Amino acid sequence: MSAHSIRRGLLLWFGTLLVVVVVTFGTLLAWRTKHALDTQVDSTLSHQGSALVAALQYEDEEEDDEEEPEEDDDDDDHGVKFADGWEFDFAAGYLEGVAERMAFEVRDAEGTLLSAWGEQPPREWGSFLAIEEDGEPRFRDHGEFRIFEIGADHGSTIRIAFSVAEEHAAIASLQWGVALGGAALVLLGLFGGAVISGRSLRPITKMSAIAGKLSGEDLSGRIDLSEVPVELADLAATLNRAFERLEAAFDRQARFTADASHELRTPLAVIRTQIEATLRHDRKADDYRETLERCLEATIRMTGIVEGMMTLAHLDADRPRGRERSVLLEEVVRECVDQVEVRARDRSVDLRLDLESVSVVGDPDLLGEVVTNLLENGLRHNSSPGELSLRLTRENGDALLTVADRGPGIPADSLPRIFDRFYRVDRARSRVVGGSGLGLAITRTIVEGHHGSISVESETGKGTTFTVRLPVAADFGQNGTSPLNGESATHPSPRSNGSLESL
Amino acid sequence: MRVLIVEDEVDLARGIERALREEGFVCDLAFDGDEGLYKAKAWEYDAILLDLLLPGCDGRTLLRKLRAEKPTPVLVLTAIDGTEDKVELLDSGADDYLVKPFELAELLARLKALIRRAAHAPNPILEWGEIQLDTAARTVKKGDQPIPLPPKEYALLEFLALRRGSVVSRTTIYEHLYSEDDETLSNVLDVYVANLRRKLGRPVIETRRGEGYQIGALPAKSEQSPE
Repeated sequence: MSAHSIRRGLLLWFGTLLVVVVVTFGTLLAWRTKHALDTQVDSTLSHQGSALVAALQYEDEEEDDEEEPEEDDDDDDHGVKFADGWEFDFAAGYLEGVAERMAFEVRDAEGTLLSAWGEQPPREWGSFLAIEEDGEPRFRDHGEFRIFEIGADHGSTIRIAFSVAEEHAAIASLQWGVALGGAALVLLGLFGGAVISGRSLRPITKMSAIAGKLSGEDLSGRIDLSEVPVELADLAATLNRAFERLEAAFDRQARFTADASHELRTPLAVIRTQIEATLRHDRKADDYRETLERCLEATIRMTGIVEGMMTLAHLDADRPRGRERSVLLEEVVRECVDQVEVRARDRSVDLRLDLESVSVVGDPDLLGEVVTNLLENGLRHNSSPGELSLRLTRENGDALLTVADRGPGIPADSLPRIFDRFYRVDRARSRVVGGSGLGLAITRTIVEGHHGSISVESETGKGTTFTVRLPVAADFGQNGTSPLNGESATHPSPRSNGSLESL
Repeated sequence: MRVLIVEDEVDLARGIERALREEGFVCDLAFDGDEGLYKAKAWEYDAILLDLLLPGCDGRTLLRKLRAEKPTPVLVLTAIDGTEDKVELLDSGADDYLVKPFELAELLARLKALIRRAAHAPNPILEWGEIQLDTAARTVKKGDQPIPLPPKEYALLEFLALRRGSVVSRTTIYEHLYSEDDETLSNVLDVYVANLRRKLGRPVIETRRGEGYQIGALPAKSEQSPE
């Protein structure tokens, strides 16, 4: 995974782009410069050539001047002597304006050299090809020279050589300059790119440092959003939210462990103190019996707590998906009611049922536990004589189960916490009437595991109503095998994988 | 010695009470914080055993409110064991604490130590004249002679001995030797005092007319080992 470096990737792209730009620009510059120089050379040459041609013609007209043409004299006075004996000479003035970097020669149609001039003529002019008087002039490169050939009078051809060594040197130096400058530019650019990319990646490094510092002991670290660039704000906010959820989950877990420890220590203290106090002296049989009874009570309470914790641990660990099927909720409720009927009669609590036939998808045992917990809770916190009403109805595709007691109600400030683990509205009273403090927490966990919700309303002095909402089974009516397991798996409620959250 | 037990676990409170009674303490019980705070303020206790998680006023609040008025030694019984909580507890005025489930013998030993400390008598063996009183073993010796005493007489002697040199009123004695549930006759104290004088010698307890009783600050007998 470290083979993939954003910074290296950025630099690679940046560097490539820079090289392409610099090379293109340099090449273009060199080419344009060379072209401009070439054009300039050619224009000078053709200008000079035309002038020579004109001069030659001019001299031709003045050919009548008799002069002593001497073969060996040619080079000195630049006279032109043709094969047929006709000859002429340049007027001296013409040659003076010609730059020293040039050389020229005049040959007749057969290629015989008639005249030549120049301080540094090329050692070799290349093969000669005559041009007609009105033929197209020719340019060509020959070594360090640019050669211009143009046809003149009497079938002669004038060749001018221009030394382009200076131009070549200039272009070579330009090319070097461009190459060196370009390389420097690329290096500078890469360095700058490295600095910039490092700088723009710094917030990420910082974020990862903060995330790295989070541990089981300290989850309070957060990314300061004001320091994060706009492009990373979303990521930072998402991370912060994740940190928050993690911290909340850890806090809940820690609190649960502390609460569990506390809840178990208290009955243990009862047992130990009772036994130790009894063992300090010899007692009568009745004393021992009483001590044992109290120890038994404490043990039963501990058992309830441990069972509740185990249930919650199981519910947290695996969702009840495996055993989900279409369940006729009405039947579940009736079975649960049968189980508490005797106890209800003992407490003079009147059970009132109003049940519609509704099916939901779920684990029948767990749904039974929901109903039993609510019933037990309703019995425990009821007045005596009292009344406990159960209603099962359908509403907007939900099964609605309400359990209403006529008990003393729950104070408003306790309502939000009533589903918390080990939360008890009145510890003293809870101890007298039993209950581990986990029943409602278990109930909520199961309901939410079934993609449902549970709510509570209470009025002090009048009673408390719990409302469970569960989605109605889609295949209600066609009992038996159904695609429900699959369906429920593909429709996770926001709560369905929130086992951590419910801790 | 009179102790207030503030604990909502009835069976735990009763278990402690039973052991304390048998050790010669008298106990009052309070099953919630409000009752506990009321009693702690209303009576003079030698020590208070305080649970933290209580219905009504919780243990920490009780401690804070009590400390604003009284220095009664408080031993906290807590089911929470975390260093911070313990530090916080001691800082907020508790004199000692025990984590549940605790050993009864340790509770008794700590309670006695607490009471001795409050009386500025850290040594468990109190000596004056020929009398030697072992608060840990609850025994009394005159010279080398063990003097067996019934619980109430022992309790009275110990109470006065812990306040050696100062006059203790009859009311104070009644308050510390009897719980709110005990039925007492006003002259029962005179009977105990008479019994103690008979067993230990007349000058051991002085009567201050109209004020109360006192065990004189006689110079302690030099270097006598308990045995």
